Amino acid sequence: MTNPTKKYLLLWAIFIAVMLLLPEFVSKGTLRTIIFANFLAIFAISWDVLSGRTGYISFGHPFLIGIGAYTSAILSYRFDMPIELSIPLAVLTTTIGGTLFFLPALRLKGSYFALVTLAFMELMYQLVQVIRPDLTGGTRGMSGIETITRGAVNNYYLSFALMVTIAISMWLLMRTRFGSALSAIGMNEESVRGSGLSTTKLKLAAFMTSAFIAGLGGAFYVHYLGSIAPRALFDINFLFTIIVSALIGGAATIIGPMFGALFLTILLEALRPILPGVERYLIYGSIALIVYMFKPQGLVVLVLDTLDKLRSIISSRS
Amino acid sequence: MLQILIQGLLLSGLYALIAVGFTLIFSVGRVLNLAYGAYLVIGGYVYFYFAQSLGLPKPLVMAMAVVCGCLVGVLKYRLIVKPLKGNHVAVEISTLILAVVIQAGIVLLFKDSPKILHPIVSGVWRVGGATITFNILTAAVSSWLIFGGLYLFVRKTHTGRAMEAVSMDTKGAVISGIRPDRINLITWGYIWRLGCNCRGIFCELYPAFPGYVGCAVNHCGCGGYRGWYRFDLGYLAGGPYYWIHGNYFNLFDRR
Amino acid sequence: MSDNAHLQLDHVVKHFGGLTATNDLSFDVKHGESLGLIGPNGAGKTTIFNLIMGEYRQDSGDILYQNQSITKLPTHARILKGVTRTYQVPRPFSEMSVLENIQIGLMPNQLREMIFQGPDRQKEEEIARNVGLSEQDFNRPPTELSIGDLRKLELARALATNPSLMLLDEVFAGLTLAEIAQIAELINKKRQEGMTFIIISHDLRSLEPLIDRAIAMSFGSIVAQGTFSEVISDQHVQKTYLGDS
Ligand SMILES: Nc1ncnc2c1ncn2[C@@H]1O[C@H](COP(=O)(O)OP(=O)(O)OP(=O)(O)O)[C@@H](O)[C@H]1O
Ligand SMILES: [Mg+2]
Repeated sequence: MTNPTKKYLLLWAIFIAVMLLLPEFVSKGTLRTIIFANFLAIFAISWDVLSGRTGYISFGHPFLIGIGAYTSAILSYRFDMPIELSIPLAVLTTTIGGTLFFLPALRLKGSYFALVTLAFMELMYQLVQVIRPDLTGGTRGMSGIETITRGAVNNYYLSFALMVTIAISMWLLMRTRFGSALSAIGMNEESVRGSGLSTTKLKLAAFMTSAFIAGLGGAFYVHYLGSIAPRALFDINFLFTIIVSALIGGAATIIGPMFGALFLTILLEALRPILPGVERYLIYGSIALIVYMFKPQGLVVLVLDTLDKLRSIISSRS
Repeated sequence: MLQILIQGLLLSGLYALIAVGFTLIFSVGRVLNLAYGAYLVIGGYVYFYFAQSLGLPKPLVMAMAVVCGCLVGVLKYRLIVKPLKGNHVAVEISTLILAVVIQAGIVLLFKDSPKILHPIVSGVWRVGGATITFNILTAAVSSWLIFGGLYLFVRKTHTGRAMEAVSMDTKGAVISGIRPDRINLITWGYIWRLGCNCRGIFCELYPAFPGYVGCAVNHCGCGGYRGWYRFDLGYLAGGPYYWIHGNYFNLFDRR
Repeated sequence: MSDNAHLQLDHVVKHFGGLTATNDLSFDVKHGESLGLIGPNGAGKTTIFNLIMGEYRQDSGDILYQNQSITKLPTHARILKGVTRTYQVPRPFSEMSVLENIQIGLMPNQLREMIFQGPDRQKEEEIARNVGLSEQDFNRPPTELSIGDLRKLELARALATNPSLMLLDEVFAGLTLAEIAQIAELINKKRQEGMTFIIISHDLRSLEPLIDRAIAMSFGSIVAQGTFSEVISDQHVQKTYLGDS
């Protein structure tokens, strides 16, 4: 094992230890906020595996998350299927269903791909309301869906375990040559093809990985909330939050989406006393826009750079 | 049925116009302007505020809407599109963020309840069982006029030809960023008309992402501000017609 | 045409709108042969490479690799067969180091191997050294390289795909004499190992010693072919090529 890997593993260990001890120090309300941050991190990682790496921007992630959430919710709520079965089925449906839907889109170039994914999200929003509302609950959605566990602390541990498992697996996967190939597509797809790699295959693999995580996150999320409504899910603000989490933290990394999700969630909570409603997104969006314009690599890099600068200032003083 | 058909037919011009605005940027600059829908919303609110709340004369307010739209478009271009130097991904994402910001800004200023816009031209005309408001009629006629004007602009003027050239050669795309934006702005200056269909009751139109797969606009404002980027199934009657136009009149995309 | 053609173009036509980039073009290159492709700007040389690699599809005609049609194959499948190219304008992965760039070229097209096998660092370094990149550049991003080193990197990434036929597009453009000599030496070494080449170059003096045969093009058609001196002394070539460039 190389030295940098050891260092990273140590950092992961410290991070996990701190997060596991967190419930001892913070209030239940804060825990609930962080639970949301954990799910958001999952969604952001899912988005980033596809879009952050390959540069194929998906505006349709709520669509994937929606498949996962709705499938599991319907199976358990309408058909009394145990959660242990409904969640894996939901993940499977998302991966396969999502892939079938997106297969034609994956051959499209950049902006067209983005358009099609956007259209899918829209389509899903419309369909969920009109097709079989007896199953989906139509416009109102469903509530009273079985939850996995109760209480903030338990849910916190559950969501954290899920998030950290996904994060570490993705971290490991993205360190392989597969991860490099995906990043290479984002830099210059033609040269990747020119290196003898099938970019369609790579993009498909990235997409399926992304859909898998989205489905997993979506299914667990719905069994945490205990309810689901189309408007909250297929909402531009939700889409925005996912994408911005990944970007503001730092795209094409794993820590980036995690950090971004935490940052955005906490910011959103901090703004709540001042601006209770959707108006928060004005500040939220402006910050995102500024960070994105001036530090496209994201906040993590910004923080590290600043630390570096401070260190060099201190060392030059002494 | 007849009602839907006629209404769809009349409105399709308007939708086509919106679609063209969107595709203009897309084909000339090769980027999706996801804030496009937000432009249209701004136009609607300018009309609502100045014409209805303050009671300024309608023609003046229309002009204001156009100017205001141009301003937003140029600002966006200067502050966001240009510094990002033609990086598609970055531009698209920042327009998404901008859309969210504008939307939140509007909610902050006007609250999120739908605003009722009065028809600009009142009166109705009955044909068979169908009722056609003069408002829609004016909207349709003027959209087609603008449409024609736009077509002539593209074909006959220097700027128009330049834009066309740019759309074929992406290298020059950035140069034209302002122009198509401006045309969008002109386009959305007209949404007040859109805002006046729907039995004159409500009418805020939140069209957005027009020009893609034929689904674009939410008239009748079913969703309040949230609906601004929604696609209205009720419009499907006029949809195919509009769709053909949206594609056929895609003046720039020559690839 | 002969059986031992490594690559063969058979009545290949490609239009761009009203413009005919290659006009019913037929030629072949034998195993181990080195073919020079010359012609004025816009003659259609790069287009031929694009067609051979499958980056564009010809409108009609066939392209045969070792007597098998590759017309229907996607780019990466052609590369697996052993054809590769360099670009006139180098296209590295800008946010990766030199070695990581080469790593992409070395990568197998199997997901399983990509995920479960690490990169072969030694092989990467060997290839980098082979093309004459210096040790201190190995971990630099391509943005910090000179145009000469970028061309070497381009060559390295292409060589990493383990080709038997290389298409080189303007490899000498913008290089110093020393760098040209270095790359010429590399090409000659590979020729001795039996690699087949098609080389596009405006730099006739550097091209001459590297090729067995030359083809001169103009407006998408072949105007002369034969040995270098035959082609260069051809009347058409004198007029269309040497006359205006
Ligand atoms: N993608 C394309 N679309 C339209 N026209 C093209 C395209 N690629 C090449 N052409 C045209 O085809 C002709 C041949 O181009 P090509 O690049 O093959 O020339 P070349 O011989 O490589 O020239 P140079 O020496 O300048 O590299 C040119 O007129 C060029 O403008
Ligand atoms: Mg060329």
